[in-house]
Amino acid sequence: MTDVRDIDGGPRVSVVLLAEEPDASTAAALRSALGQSYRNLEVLVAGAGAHELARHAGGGDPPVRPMPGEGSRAAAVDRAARAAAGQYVAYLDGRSAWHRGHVRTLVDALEASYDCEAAYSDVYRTLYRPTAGGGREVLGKVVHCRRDFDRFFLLHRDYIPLPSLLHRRGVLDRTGPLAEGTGRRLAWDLCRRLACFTDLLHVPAVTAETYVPDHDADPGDGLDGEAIRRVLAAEPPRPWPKLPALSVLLAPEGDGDELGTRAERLCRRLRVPCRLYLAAPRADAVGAAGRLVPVSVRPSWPWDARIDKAVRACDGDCVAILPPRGRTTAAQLTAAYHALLYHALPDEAVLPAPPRRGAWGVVVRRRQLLRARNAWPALPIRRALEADGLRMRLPRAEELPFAFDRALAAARAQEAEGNFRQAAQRYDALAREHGHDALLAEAAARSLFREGRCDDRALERCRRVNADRPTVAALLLEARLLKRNQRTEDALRLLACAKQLLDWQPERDRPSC
Amino acid sequence: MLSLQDLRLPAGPGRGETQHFDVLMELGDCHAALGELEQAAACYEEAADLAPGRADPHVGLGVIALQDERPDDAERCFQAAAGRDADCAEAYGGLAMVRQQREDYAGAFDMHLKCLELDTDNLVALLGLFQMSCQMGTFAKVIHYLELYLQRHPGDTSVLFCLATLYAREGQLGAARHCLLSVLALEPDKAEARDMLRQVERKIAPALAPDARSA
Repeated sequence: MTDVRDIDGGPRVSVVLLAEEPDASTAAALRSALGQSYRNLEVLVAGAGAHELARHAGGGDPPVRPMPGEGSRAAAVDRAARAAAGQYVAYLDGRSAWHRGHVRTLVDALEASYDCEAAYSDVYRTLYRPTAGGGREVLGKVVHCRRDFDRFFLLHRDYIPLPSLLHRRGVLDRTGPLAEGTGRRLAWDLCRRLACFTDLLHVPAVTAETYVPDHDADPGDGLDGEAIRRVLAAEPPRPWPKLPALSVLLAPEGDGDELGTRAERLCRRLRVPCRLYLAAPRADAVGAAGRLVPVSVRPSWPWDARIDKAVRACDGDCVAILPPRGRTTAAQLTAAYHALLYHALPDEAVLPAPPRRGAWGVVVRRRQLLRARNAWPALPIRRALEADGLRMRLPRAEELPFAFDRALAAARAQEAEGNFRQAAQRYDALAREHGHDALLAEAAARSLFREGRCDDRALERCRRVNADRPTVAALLLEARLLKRNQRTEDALRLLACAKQLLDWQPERDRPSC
Repeated sequence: MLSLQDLRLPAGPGRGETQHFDVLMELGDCHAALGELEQAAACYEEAADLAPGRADPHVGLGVIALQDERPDDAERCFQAAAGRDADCAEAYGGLAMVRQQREDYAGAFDMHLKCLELDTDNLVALLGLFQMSCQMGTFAKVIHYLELYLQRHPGDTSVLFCLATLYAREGQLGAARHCLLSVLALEPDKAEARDMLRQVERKIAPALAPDARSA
């Protein structure tokens, strides 16, 4: 058995470095791993360039092991992570580098946490222009991530970059292999899987950088259809202790020729992990694909009987029954699922939309649905649920998911319309309600700066951000405020700090601002 | 209901394309304001290397050359700025300064005018145009730009006073008096405005006298 604790008592950390090409960028990423202040590491170099890169690593402290092999990015990362001897696993690739304290920061956070098996930090998204010699001319560093963990948000948005992530090795035994063909959405696939088993601890400190060339049209959270489809289609093995699984049941009246299309559309748009059960006479013709599961029923069967068969076929903890006709949007379904998980009382089910004539749908706990059907088999499903004492209601406004994001979008819209003072008030109110202090203090300061007559309040917020965790944007903003108030020397000092951060190479010690 | 597009990440301003450039420009401006011209020039030069298509670093370098009394270098810099951005008002303002230093008043006048065509709020160009007008004795154009400026900045007493001076020189005594009254309403202690108002009203009085008699 490998001893995974070092002489200081720190657990061993396995660093998976994806080296698709053994180029200068990947070598720099490796240097940032080897230069960590945390020393109980092993580096596993995965991908086509593994041998060459590992050969150049030399030394042996920390040890660098090549993990070559056939297959995709996902397969290479998966293979290396599962071969890890460490108690924790962290990731790097040729488009990223760590600051010297990255691993220590995340290990300390996880060691101090009782229930989280994964953690992530903030990263700089460093936009650069490639130079002739293979170097990078830095154009800007914008803090990416900077957001506390929100499971539903993570299911909808790829917001945790791979280099910012560290997790316990053991959790991989439950998450299953990564999906193929996810390209640069690999991190999203991994994080979605992790989120089914654990909360992810957000460490609000910038500890890494990801590099984005200026000609790259996709800044990282844009949409790239096929990779996203594959991420959404994948799910880890069940059961999931942190996310009751959802089964969505669709049963058309009649043959339901159009249902395949309707199901596909829903599959594309629904971002919570789920399986869609298509109960129709010709469902087999649509076939099982991705998360679509066909359920054969007879043409003569009424809608309730079709749903009953789908309920028996499905294995979700929660069941969403869609109405036989009409449109239920992915957003309505997500809202009802969210309300059921986090807000509904034990005797409540949630309607995705107001019932219309003959078109009724519901999101309900499966065990309650089964109990009602067993107790009242002769009644239609809706009546059976009511007879069993279940109350059905629409989600309330305060139960909708993404409350923070909706409020933030509203504040940003106000800012975009030039209502700077109101926008700043909203940012402040959001910070009081939701946290995210650095993000919102900086946004409020920016709004107040643009308002032009509240420099004192803007300065106070900037100082709060920069005193704790200075960023290039916040330093620049504070400097502009000072300059506008004729405090040129103070502005100069902050601008010099911002310049240092921009020029800073991650493998060196962080400049002291 | 919130759409997926609304769930974009709250990031910093844009992708940060101009962040390094902005820091360098601000650094250059601060050094220049503190009289540290060499450091300022170094910052502007680095900014120019980082964004070769941008005009502003060349304007900064031009201003430093002007302060350093190197008009030829300044002209080259301002030309470079105008070459990169034909709508760069500051470049034309800089070229006007260079011509002014060379006592080429007609050339300076044209450049100030071009600057004001692009930026009617440019107070430096406006006052430069005023000075050149005084040198050359032609006031019609500058009056137009001063009026335009005052539509946006009605409380700017220094420009109001300039306009009053020009109206008086052009013989538009009523308009001059009106401007001076506005100046004094905003700055009751402005002695030169009070003196000038007294002179203007003295000139107006004989013209008003027959009317007064007939009334």
